[in-house]
This record gives sequence, C-alpha cells and structure tokens, in this order.
Amino acid sequence: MPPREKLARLRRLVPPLVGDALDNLRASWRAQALTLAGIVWGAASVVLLLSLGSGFNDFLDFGFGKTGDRWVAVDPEYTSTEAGGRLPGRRIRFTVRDLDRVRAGVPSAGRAVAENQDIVPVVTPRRTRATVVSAAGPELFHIQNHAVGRGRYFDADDERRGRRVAVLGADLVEVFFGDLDPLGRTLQIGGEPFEVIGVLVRKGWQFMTNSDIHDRMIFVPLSAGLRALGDGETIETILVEPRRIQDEPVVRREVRAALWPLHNLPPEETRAVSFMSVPEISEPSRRIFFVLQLLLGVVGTVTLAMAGTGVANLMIAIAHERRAELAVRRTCGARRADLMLQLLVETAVVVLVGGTLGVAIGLSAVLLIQVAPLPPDFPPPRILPSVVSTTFLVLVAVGLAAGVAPARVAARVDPASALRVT
Amino acid sequence: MGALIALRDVRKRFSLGEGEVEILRGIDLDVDEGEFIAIMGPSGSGKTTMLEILGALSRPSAGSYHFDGDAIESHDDDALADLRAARMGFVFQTFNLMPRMTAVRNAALPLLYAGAGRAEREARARGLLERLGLGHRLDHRPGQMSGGERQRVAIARALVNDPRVVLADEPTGNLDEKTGREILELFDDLHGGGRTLIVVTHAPEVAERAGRVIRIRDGRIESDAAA
Ligand SMILES: Nc1ncnc2c1ncn2[C@@H]1O[C@H](COP(=O)(O)OP(=O)(O)OP(=O)(O)O)[C@@H](O)[C@H]1O
Ligand SMILES: [Mg+2]
Repeated sequence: MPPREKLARLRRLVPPLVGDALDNLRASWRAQALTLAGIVWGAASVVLLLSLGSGFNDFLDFGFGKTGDRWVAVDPEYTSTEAGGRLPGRRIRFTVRDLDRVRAGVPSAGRAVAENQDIVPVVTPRRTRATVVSAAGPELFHIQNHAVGRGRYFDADDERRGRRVAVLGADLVEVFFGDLDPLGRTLQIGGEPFEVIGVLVRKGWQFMTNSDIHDRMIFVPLSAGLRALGDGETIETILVEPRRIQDEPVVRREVRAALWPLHNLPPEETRAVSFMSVPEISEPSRRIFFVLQLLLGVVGTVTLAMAGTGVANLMIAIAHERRAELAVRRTCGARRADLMLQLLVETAVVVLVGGTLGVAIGLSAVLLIQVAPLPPDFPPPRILPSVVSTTFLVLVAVGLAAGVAPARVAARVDPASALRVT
Repeated sequence: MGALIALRDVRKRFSLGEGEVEILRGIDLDVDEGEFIAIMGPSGSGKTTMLEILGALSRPSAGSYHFDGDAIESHDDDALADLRAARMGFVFQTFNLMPRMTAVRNAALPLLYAGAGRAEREARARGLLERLGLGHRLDHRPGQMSGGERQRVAIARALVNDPRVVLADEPTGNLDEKTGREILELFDDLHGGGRTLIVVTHAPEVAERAGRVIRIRDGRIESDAAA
C-alpha cells in the first residue's frame, strides 16, 4: 500500500480505536488497577527523580555562577629551567606590564583583570576589623558576577584616576555602619580613607569559595588598592575570562606565549606560572551530578519499563480474551495490521492514562517538596518542561514497546474463528 | 457474464496432531447474482467450513475459488480483508456484536475498514438501522437489546457496505420461533431486492424460503436443487 494511503488509513482508524480503548478502560479499570498503579508509580518516580536531578544541576550552575563560572586565575610561580644565564627556581613577579601583555596577546580571552587580595585592618567609627580586601580592575565585576544592590561599582574612570573608592560585600554594612546609610561614608583601609560608593547584592554560599566570603569582602580599584595594600607595583593574580568556555585550554597557551618573552623564559618552561581554572574545578562536580542525574533517570525509566512489562502481560491476556471480537473485526474487513494497530493503541492508551496520572502525582510531590522545610543546603527539585516532555516520551516508548507482544497475539487471530464463537 | 461465485474441486484439510482430516472433499459450486441459497446437512458435515471458504475467511487446501471473476488464490491476506470489507457481509448465529459499541457504531464497523469517513459511516448505519425498524435503538448497546434486535443490528452490519453477497451461519439458531421468522422475512425482503444470500441452516423454514437448497454430507455436495 502506498504510504499516503497507509497514513489515511491510520488517521481514519486511530480516533475510533482510541475511543474504544478509553471505553474499555473505563469498563474494566478495576481489574487493571494493579497494573495501572505500576505505571502511575513509574511515571511519578521518573518525574520526581528527573526534577530532583535538575534541582541538583541548578544548584551547581547557581553555585558556580555566583562567582563567575569560567575564569582562569594565572599566578606567578618559580621557574624550573635555566634561562638567560639564571638558575632554575627564580621567582616570577607580575606587574601591570604582565596584565597589559595578557590583554594584548590573548585573543581568545574576552576580559582580563589583575587582582590583589589582602587581609587588612578596616576601621570605621563603629568598629575595627580585619577584612579581606580585593583590589582589582572594574572588569572583576563582570568576571565574578557581582551585582550592585545600592550605589554603583567602580569604573574605568575611578581606576584611571586612582580614586579611593570602595564597594562593600552585603554583610559588611551592618558590621561597619550599623543602621547608618554607608553610601558616601568613609572607611580606613590599611590606614587610608576610602569612600563607600556601592553595596553588593548578597550572594550567599558560593561553590567556588565554599563560603560566603564575597559577602564579607571589600572591593576597591586596583590603582588605589596597590598603594594601600602592597608595594604599589606587584600584582598577585591575573584573572582571564575565555570568550567561550571551551577555549579555556587555548587561553592557557596564549597566556604563556604572551608572558614568556617578558620574563625571558624558554618555550620548554612549564612551571613559571600556574593556572587555577573554574571550568576545570567545576568539571568533576558537574560530571558527578550528570552521572547522578543519569542514574536517577535510569532508575525511573527502569521502574517504568517494569511497569510496562505488567501492562504488556495484561494486554496479552486481554488480546486472548478478545480473540472472538478481533476475529469478527477481520470478517468486517480489518487487516492483520489493523488489529495490531488496535492493540498498540489500546496498550498505549493504558500506559498514557496511567502515566498522565503518575506525572500529575509526581509534579504534586515536587511542589510539596519545594514548600517542605528542607535541610539548609539541600537543592530543591525543579519542574522543567523538558522533564515532563521527557517523561511522556518515555511513556510513549514504553506504551509502544508494551504493545508489541499483544499486537502479535492479535495478528495471529484466525478470521474463520468468528464463525465458531460459542 | 460468469457466476458471482465459482468453486472448482475445493478441498479443505485440517491437520489433527499427526494426521490430516479432509473436511471438504471436492466441492463444485456456482452461485449467480441474486440467488438465495440454503446450505443444509448433518452436524459436522462441513457447512460452516464451506461458508468460511465462501467468505474468504480461509483458503481452500486445494481447488479454485473465483469471486466475481477474480481468483482468490492470488490474493494476499490484506487483499482478502479488503474483499470482505467491500463485497461481503456476515451474519452469525451468536450475533457477535461489539459489546461496548452502540448499535450505530456496530452497524458501521465494516465501513471503517472499507475507508468511509466518520460522517458517512454514521449516516449509512443510521439509515439502515431505521429501515430495519431499530430507529429507537440507535444508541443502545447490545446488552440493552433483545436477541432479535441484536440480530437485526448484525444484519445491518452485514448490509452496510452494500455487499455482493451476504453469508449467514444459522442466523436463527439462537432466536425463538417468532423472532426467527421475523429475521427470515427480512431475508426474504433482501432476496426480493436482488441481494445474493447464502445461509447455512438446520431449519426447514429457511430452506422453504430459499430458491435453492444444497445438501452436504461428509464434505461432499449430496444434492443441489431448486426448492
Ligand atoms: N480448524 C479446524 N481444525 C480441525 N478440525 C476442524 C476445524 N474446523 C472444523 N473442523 C472439523 O470439521 C468438521 C466440520 O465442521 P463444520 O463446522 O464445518 O461442521 P458443520 O457442518 O458446520 O456442523 P454444525 O452443523 O454442527 O455447525 C468437524 O468435524 C470439525 O470438528
Ligand atoms: Mg456449523
């Protein structure tokens, strides 16, 4: 039969067959309750497990996203080779010239910034406290995903003019100013006055720092900070952000190529700088979470597949029971394939009805967990449209697979037996 | 024009464990358009087996069967199904209606497989049921109907595709005398309208109405005579 006719036949047969299947289910659902329960349970667990999985994933994205998910920190180390008549073990020192080299010579990086961090006494009339202070270019704002809650972040102009301005982590306002409005007020950082121009939005616990340190830090421009915190020249770290996350290895190569001439290093030198990369650090946890999610999905799917076996058995029994009806349909002109289609449709309907109920129950369970009191760091499950559509895809697959054996029973029905119904 | 149905030396064998039994042992038969034939014979003589061959529900083990000039042997399984959908109607002793379908949907069933759309199926089944006096039972299910009404629905199902031949196996076997007579009157009407009917029966009343009676014994035609 040409495909177009086949399609027309399918479109003609399926709607009444679905109707018949629903009628049959309505008439006999009590007898099928146990089997249906298996499908309901299977579908509910797929939804629940996949939602838990995507909750974990969110948690990861969110946790890394808070501090920027793709920068690479370049730190100066000691040389391991002889070069320019100098012995191995020479200390490498970064200055602003290194930053300029990286900015000019690393095309796969979108942003680069220098950062020095130090713990220094910070003083206000209210309190004196040793505080982590970061001195960095304004690009740090983007690279580490800061968000300003009040006031503003320092900008290129502040940096160029060496203005002594400061942006506070969210938790420091109370510490240093109590109930007062911190904007426009002054902090003594390492003995020098800095004006507060902004307060960051609270980040909470951060995956990268394994703490809430960004909420308890002060951020100042590099130019002013270098003077207040260090020798005015030495840079501790350069953060580089690849344009695309997959360019991270290229960035490393380009950074070496850009810095080596500046420090008279031979190509075989590998130890002079070290790299600490967020993508590299997050990779193992992402892999674990991916495997976890896969596992949860597999557990759910296996549950559903087992329930599908139950439906297949039920439908095989039903096909046998209805051999007389099926034979009569053959006398009415049903082809073998039409009867197979009938059993496939009927099986799929059973699976989809049970499955829809299960999805609804699974979603309700997810909603319940979301509002339930959870342990503090437990990532709440999340309902994604893709979770629901994946579940239905699995259900359709299970329904069709479960329908194969019953369809074969239907195909074997002898049309002549219609004349011998007793 | 040739006969509507032509059987030549048709044999039907069934395998029984080790051996084989030959149930039909060389049947020759021509049926012309518009005939009303009764097939009679003792129980186990092969009547139903013959009807099953005539209805293209199974193939002869040997011999040839031409329906409307076509050799059935050359048809594949789908072609036989399509032939039944378009040109044959069946009436059974046990009615064999779909228990969860209304009268209309039961009667319309062959049209579904013959390729009619929903509206046409409904309209034709309705019209036919009304003509058979079941206008008040259209949306009833078989469980809500009497035996005679059920058999009428079954007859409507057999007629709905306007078949070339209606094949019935003991159509009055499960009905009381009065209801049986009503069904037979219906058959008379159909015959009067030019419909070809082949009815397997034990009942002499059927044979009385048929134009031709074929008697079968041990898988052979014993007699074939105008009634
Ligand atoms: N599929 C089959 N396999 C084996 N034997 C069969 C099969 N179908 C029919 N028979 C045998 O063929 C013989 C004839 O059966 P058939 O049903 O044609 O008889 P019948 O004339 O219709 O009898 P009745 O009047 O009792 O309905 C019987 O002995 C029956 O057991
Ligand atoms: Mg019989």
